[in-house]
Amino acid sequence: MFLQNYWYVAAEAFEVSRQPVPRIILGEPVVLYRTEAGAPVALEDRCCHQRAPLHRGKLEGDNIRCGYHGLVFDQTGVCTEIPEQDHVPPQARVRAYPSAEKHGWVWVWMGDCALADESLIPDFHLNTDAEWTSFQGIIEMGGASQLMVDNLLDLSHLPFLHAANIGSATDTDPELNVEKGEDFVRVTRIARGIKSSKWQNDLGIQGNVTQEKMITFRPPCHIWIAIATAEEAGPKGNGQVMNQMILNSMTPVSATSCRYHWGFARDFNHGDAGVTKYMKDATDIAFNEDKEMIEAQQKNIDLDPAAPIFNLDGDEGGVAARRLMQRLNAEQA
Amino acid sequence: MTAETLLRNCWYAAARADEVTPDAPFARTMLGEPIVLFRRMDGAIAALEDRCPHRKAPLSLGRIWDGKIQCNYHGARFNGDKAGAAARKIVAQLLAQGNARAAE
Repeated sequence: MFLQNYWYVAAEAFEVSRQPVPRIILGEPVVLYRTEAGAPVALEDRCCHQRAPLHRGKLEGDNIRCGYHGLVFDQTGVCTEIPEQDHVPPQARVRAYPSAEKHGWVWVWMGDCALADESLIPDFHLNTDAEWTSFQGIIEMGGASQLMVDNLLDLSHLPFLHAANIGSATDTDPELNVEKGEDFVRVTRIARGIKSSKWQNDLGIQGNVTQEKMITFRPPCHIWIAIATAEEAGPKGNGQVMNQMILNSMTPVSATSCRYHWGFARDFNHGDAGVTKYMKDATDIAFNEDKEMIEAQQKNIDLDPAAPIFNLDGDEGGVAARRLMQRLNAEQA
Repeated sequence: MTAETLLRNCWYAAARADEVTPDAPFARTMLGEPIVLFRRMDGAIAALEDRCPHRKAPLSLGRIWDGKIQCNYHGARFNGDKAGAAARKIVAQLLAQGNARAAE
């Protein structure tokens, strides 16, 4: 059901420390911690003895000791000590997941370890690029990762769900183009001469804007949204373009929930902490509107999974992403 | 008892009459089905499936406008009456007070 041979975001880098933290990724319990040298470790968060979660234990050097009966596991998952017996059976081990820290996030490879190649980690470098100013956030969502993919590939929801902040009331007639690749779906959405949003007004943009958004989905759950905004007239007008990149990765927790890691990078008001705070607060509000809607959708889906949906013009990208995921799932099976 | 075994061809109390207004949608789950209630311009009660046929967003998160309800996700708008409703009409009707009119 889940695509296994991929890198998934398990945490923001700051969340992984010398204090073990639990995650559920693709329905599997994973414990994350750092070695003394600072490298991330991801182990099965379930002791091989009686299934106690290892995250309730303690680190000893680079190893973790289960908090129930004291079994010790090294960072490769091998049990190295059982306190009440001398013999450590060779099957006493937990699964170790390949992990890596890149672009401000800790990644875990959920599939065949032999295929884990760090060069396959998706390019989210704008999270940490010194030429851009960025901030990040995390939202635990009680809705399927796919619902967030639908959400981000179809931004026709902005004038409604986000009317009070990032949406423009007149952004209802865009030029849409959908490109369907072997391993990506890209939606280009151009809105010309639309009313600026509340969010843009607060950042000093008045009047109308033209906005081009390029939204790229890559399996299993990654989306990049590049947004170029040009003011038609006004202090920041005259052809000046503001660029933003929204980085999104929606790691499935279960079939009906996900952990949404996002980043927001910009090339304007570089390093301005006041603008960053404003944008972070506004983004938190807007993304929580998405959370509320997606959780409400999921409840309706759970109530009657067979109730039909229908597709609008704006869903071409989301439908293409679903088909791509179905194809990859069939190939994996 | 599952939702399938509940009696359908009968009237159920869905709300107190004063809970159903022209200003804000009112959500109920009845017989396992999500239902949104509101009042149309003429004061009649509308009871619709609380599930947008597009992506299943609850219409009750939306707004009432001119007696119509607008989904807050992608803006689809539904009449509260039989003729214009794109949403499938639901079985549940109202018996809020003796004089309350049903949705049909």
